[in-house]
Amino acid sequence: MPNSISILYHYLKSKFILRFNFFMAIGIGGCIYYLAITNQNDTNIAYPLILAMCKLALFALLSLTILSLISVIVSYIYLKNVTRINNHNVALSIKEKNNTQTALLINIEKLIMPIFGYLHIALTYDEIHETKIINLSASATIKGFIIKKLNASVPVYLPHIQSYEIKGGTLYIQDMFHLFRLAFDFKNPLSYLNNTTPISAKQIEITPKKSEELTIRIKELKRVDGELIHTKKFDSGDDTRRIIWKIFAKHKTLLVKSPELFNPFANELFIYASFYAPYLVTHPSDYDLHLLDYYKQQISNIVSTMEENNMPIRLITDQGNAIDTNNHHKIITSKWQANILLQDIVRRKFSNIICIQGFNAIEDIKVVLNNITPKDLVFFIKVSNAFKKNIFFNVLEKILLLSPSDTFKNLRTRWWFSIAKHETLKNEHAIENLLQGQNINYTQL
Amino acid sequence: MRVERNISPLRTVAQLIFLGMPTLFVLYFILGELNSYYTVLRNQQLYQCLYFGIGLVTSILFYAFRFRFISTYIILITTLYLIYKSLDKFGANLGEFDAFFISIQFLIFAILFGIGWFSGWLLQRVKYGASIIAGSILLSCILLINKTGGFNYISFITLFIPIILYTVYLTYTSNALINVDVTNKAFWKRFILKLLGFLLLSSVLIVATSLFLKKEIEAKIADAQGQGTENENGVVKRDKVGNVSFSDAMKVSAKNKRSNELVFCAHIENYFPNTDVPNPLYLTSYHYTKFDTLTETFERDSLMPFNDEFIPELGNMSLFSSATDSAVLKNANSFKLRNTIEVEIYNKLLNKNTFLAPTTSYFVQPITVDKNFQKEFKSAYRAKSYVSLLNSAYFIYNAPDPTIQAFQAQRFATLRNVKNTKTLDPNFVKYYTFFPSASNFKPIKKLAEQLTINKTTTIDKVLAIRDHFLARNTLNEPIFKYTDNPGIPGLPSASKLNYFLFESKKGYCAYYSGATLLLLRAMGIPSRIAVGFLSVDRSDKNKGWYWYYANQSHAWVEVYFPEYGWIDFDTTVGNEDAREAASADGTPPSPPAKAAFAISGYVTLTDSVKKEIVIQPVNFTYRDKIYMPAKETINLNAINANIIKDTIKLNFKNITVGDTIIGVNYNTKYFGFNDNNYSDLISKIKTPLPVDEVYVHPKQSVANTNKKEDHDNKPLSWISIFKIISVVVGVLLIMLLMLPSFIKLWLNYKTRSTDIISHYNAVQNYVHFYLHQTQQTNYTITPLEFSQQIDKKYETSYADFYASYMALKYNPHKSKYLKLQHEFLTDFITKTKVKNRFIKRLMHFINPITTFKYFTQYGK
Repeated sequence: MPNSISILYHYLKSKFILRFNFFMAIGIGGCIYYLAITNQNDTNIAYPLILAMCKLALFALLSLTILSLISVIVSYIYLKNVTRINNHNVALSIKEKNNTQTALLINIEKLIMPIFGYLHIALTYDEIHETKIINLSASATIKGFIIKKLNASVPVYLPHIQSYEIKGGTLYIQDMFHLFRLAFDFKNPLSYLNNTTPISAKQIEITPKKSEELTIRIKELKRVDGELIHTKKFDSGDDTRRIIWKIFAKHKTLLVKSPELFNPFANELFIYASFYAPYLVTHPSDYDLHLLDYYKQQISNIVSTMEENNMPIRLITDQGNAIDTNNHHKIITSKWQANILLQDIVRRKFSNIICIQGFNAIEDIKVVLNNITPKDLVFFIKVSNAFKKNIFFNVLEKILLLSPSDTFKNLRTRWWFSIAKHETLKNEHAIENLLQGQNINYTQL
Repeated sequence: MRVERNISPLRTVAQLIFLGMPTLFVLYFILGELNSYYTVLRNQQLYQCLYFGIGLVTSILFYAFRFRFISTYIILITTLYLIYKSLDKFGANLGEFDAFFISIQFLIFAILFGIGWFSGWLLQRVKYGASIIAGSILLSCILLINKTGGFNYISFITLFIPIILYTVYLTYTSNALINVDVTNKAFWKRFILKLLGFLLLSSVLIVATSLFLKKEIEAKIADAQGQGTENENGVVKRDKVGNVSFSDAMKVSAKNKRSNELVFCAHIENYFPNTDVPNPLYLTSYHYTKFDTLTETFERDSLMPFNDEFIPELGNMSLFSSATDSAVLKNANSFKLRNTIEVEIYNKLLNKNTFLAPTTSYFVQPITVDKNFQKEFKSAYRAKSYVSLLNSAYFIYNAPDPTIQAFQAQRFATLRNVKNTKTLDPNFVKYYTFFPSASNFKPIKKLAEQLTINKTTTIDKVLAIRDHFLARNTLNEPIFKYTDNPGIPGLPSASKLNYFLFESKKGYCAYYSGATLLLLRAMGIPSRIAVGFLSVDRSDKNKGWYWYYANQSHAWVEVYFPEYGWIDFDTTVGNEDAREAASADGTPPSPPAKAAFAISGYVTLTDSVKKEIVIQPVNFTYRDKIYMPAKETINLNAINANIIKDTIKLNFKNITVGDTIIGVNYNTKYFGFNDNNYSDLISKIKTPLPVDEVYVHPKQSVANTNKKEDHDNKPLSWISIFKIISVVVGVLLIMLLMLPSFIKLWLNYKTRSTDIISHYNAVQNYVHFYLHQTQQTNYTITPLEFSQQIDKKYETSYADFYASYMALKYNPHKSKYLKLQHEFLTDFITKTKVKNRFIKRLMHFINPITTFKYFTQYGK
C-alpha cells in the first residue's frame, strides 16, 4: 500500500504541470491583490500609490510568466512533433569507460529550448519506477541557434547494484522560474549495469600466488551462433594466413581469427566470492537487495584495490559466468543463491583471496579453511553492516549537526526488529568465532 | 567533533555572489527608506546594512557545513539576548546615557544580524527560500514606498523597477543553481551569459510594462499627492458616483482639496432658550478614538469602551421604519442639562449609508421627500439625539449676537463646576487619554504642560489650548493660520504634527483636531475626534435650516465632562472659505407631513375595481413606534393613494402580486391612539387601512438589486471560499473513492454485449479487474496457472473460461462454436462474494490507488 501511494504520488507529481513556484507566485500575487483591495476602503492617502505599485508589479510578473509559459509550450509541441516524425530524435546510449558502464548518454537531434528555461530528465526502469530528476541543460553540450542539438551524459541514480532494464524516460521542459513543467515521455529500451560507487578502500597487502602459465589457445572453435565470434578486424601486422575469406566473401570485410591469448603475467590473483545465502533465498524480504549491494560493494572495493596495484585479477563466483567476463560485470550481475557451496568453487591450487559473508554455512567454511595455506587471505564481509548507522556518540553532536543523508532510513528501523537481522547476526557471530579459532590470515569488513 | 561540509566551497561562493550580494544591495535601499521613516534609526543605513550583511554571509558560510538550523539559531538568539541584558546591567558604569545608547545600538545590531542569519539560512538550505525572500521583499517595499512621499513618474519608476527586477532575478538565479554541477567550467560560462541575457530580457519587459502603464501610474501618483479629485479632506472620501462618505481613518497629509458642491441640507430644531436665535449643532458621523503612532493616523475603533456611536444601516431601511439604539444612551453617560433634538436631513450627495446627526443620536427614520424636491434630494431621514444644552457650534468664532455671547459665558461657568474625572471608569480614562510614548511626541507633552501651567479645571485647559491657537504676535497677526496646503515637512522623518505645532503653524482641520487631541490627552483629559459637518447659520429667512457644502466636512474634538457627556470643541482657526456659502442657500424642502402610520409587506392580491391591496404585513410603524404585525393578511384601501416607484408615479394596475409595498398614511385624525397592541390599533384606525402613498418595490428588481449589491459590496469571505472548496474537495474525494466501484459497474455493463468476441474480452476484463482490485495479482506464474489457482481458491471455473478466451483471442473464427459466458460470470461473482467478506470487499473497492496501478501497469 505505501508503495502504491508513493508510485501514485510520483506519477502525479511528474505529470503535474504547475510547480511550487507557481503557487508561490500566486501567493505573492494574492498578497499584492489583497493589499490593493484592503487599502481601498481607507483614506490612506497612499492608496493610489500602492495600487500603482501593485499593478506595475503584477503586470511585470505576469508578462514574464506568460513569456515563460509560451516558450515552454512551444518547446514541448516542437519536441513532440519532431519525435513523432523521427522516432530516434531522442536517443539513449550507454557510455563505457575501461569496459565498465559509467553513465548514460542522451542525444536529442532537434529541440527548441524554452527561453532561459531548463531541460530535466528522469529515467523509467523496471516498468514503473522512475529515477530522480536530473538537470540536463546545466551540463549538456547544446549547439545551434534556435533549433538545437543536445548531447549530455546522464548520471544514473538507480537504487541497487544490479542489471536494470531501462525502458525510456521523461524529459521535463521547465520555464525559467520553475513555474510550469511539461513532461514528454520517450521510449528507448536499454539494459544497464548499475555500477558500484568507487570508494578508495584501504590498501590490502597481499602477495599473489604463482599461478600456472596460462596460455589460452584457440584449440577448437566452439560451435556457437554467429560466425563473427572469436574474430577481430584485420590490422597491419596480422598474419594474412589468419584472414577468414569466407566472411570476406560474404561481408567484404577483412577479419582475422583472434590471436592466441597468452597470459603475460606469471602471477595472477584469484578472488573467490560466495553468494551462497539459503536463508535469504527462502525468506525473501526488502533487505535482500540492500545486503547484496553492501556485499557487492565490498567485493568491488577489493577487486578495485587489487587492480590499482596492476595485478591481474580473476574473480570467481558461484554464478556460472563465462570465464572471460569482466570482473565488475560479474559482481554487478550476481545474485543470492542457495545451490552452490563455497567449497564447490574454491580450488586449492589457485586460491588467493576468499570472500565469505554471514550466510555461508559453517561446515562449508570449515572445509575450505582446512584446505588453504596461511598465506591466503580471507575476507569476512559482515553484510549486517549494511544497516549499521553512523550514529553520533555525542548528544551535543546530535543536537547541533545534521545526520548524514540516509537512503534507507525507514528500512533501517524495520531491520532493527526483524528476524532476518537476528538470523544474520547469529550466523555472523558463529563465523567470527570460527575464524578466530583458526590460524589464518583474515580480515573483517 | 568533526563537522563535514554539506555544500561544496564553490557552490557556497556562488550563493554568496549571486544571491547574497544582490539581497544586501536591495536591503541597503530598504534600510534607507526605513531610516528616513523612523527617527530612531537615523543616519545609520550603512552600519545597519553591514550588520545584516555579516549575519547573512556568516550564515551562508556556516550552513555550508552540516549544522542544524533550529538548535544553532536558538543558541545564537540566546547569546545575543544575554549580551544585550548584560550590557544593560553592567553598562551602568559607563554612565546612563552611554549605556542606553550602547544597548540600543546592540539591539539594532542583534535584530538585523538575526534577520540576516535567517535569510542566509533560507538562501543556503531551503529550496524555495530565495523565492520566499524575494516575495517578502517585494511586498515590504510596496508597503514602505507608499510611506515616502514626493514622487513623480521617473522617481517612482527608478525606485520600484529595481525591486521587481530583484524579485525575478533572485527567483531565477536560485532556481538556476539547483541541481547543477558547479565544478564544470563550461557551466559557469553559460550561466553568467544566461544571467546577463535574463536580466536584459526582464528589464526590457518590466520597462515596457511601466511605459504601457505610464498614464495610469502618473494619474495614481497625482492622486496620492492630493492633486486628484479623491481625498478631499483626509476624512471624506468619494465613491465612483461622487457620493460623499467618511473614512475609517484620518491621516494628516500634505495637501487638502475641497470642493463646494451642496451635499445635503438639514433642519435642526435647536434654538437658544426662550429666543428664536438658532443654535446650530455640528453633525457627527464617526469618531476617531485611536491614534496609530506609526502612521500618525487617527482611526475608528469598534472596540472603544462605552461605545456611543449609533450606526444604523440606513441604506437597508425601508421608508418610515425606524431604528433605535438605547444602549448608546446608557454609554453616553450624560445626565445633566440634556435635551432631545430632532433633525431632518435631506440628502443630495451623501452615501446612502452615511448617517449624520448631532452627538449623541439614538433614533433614525427614513422619510419621504416632497415630490417638488425629489429632483434635488434623493432621500431623507429624521433623527433624534440627546444633546447637551451646553453644546453648540459656537465655540471658536464668537458671533456678535449678545445671546450667543451670554450663552458662551454661562456655558464655561457651568463647566468649571464639573467634578473631577477621577471618579470615572479607569478603562474609559485609560483608553481616551492614551498618549504615544515615542520620543518624538515628548515636545507635545511639554507644550501641553506649558500651556496649562496654572489651569485647574478641564474647561480652562481646553480654553488654554484654544487661546494658543488663537494667539497673535506682536504685529497683531494670528500665529496659527488655516491652509489647505500645509506642505511637506522639510525632514522626511519629522512628525507632521510636531512640524505643524512648532514650525509651520498652519494646517487644516485634521491638523488642528489632531494636535488638540494629543494636547488634551497629554494632560489626561478624555477626548476623541469627531468627523462630520460643521453647521453654519447663514440664513435669516429660514430659521433652523442649514445648508452643507462639501467644504464644510470637518473634524473637531469632543471632550468628556463627567455627568455632561461628550461636548464638541472646535479648535480649528477661522477658515473663512468654509463659512461663506458657494451659492446662496436654496429654498428648504417643504416640511414633510408626519406620517400617522406606515405598513410594509408583500402583495398577495389586488382588486383594481375597489382599488384595494391585500398584503402580508411585515412591518407596521405607528407614530415612530414599531409593532409586530399579526400573521393574517390585511387589506389596504388605495383609492386616494399616489402609487410611486422610485420617483415615478404609477397606475394601480402596475402593482402585481409578489411586490413589496409600503403604504403610508399622513392623516392627523389617526394620531391620537395610545394602544400597545397591533390588532387594537388596526381596529381603531379602520379596515381596510386607508393609505395616502404606496411605495412599490417590484419583486424581481428587489431581488436583482440585492444580488448586485451583494456582488458589489461583499467579496467572498474566506470562510465561504473555504466552505465551497471543502464541499468541492469532499465531492471529488467521494467520487475518487467510488471510482473502482464505478469501473466495476461499467465493466460489468460491458459484458452484456452479445458480440461473442467483445463479450469474452469484457468478461476477462471484469474478472481481471476484480482480482486485481482484491489484491490478487499475478507477476510470477503464467496466466493459466494463475487462473487455476483462483479456481482452487474460489471453486470457480475461471481456468476453463480463460482457456476458451485464449483460444478465441488467437483464433477469432472459433467464435461460432462458443457461447456467452453469463453463467460463469454470475457464478464467479457469487462465489467470490461468499469468500470475500463485505468489509474486506469494501476496503478493496474504496482504494483508487490499486485501480490506478491496474491501469498504469497493465496499460503500459
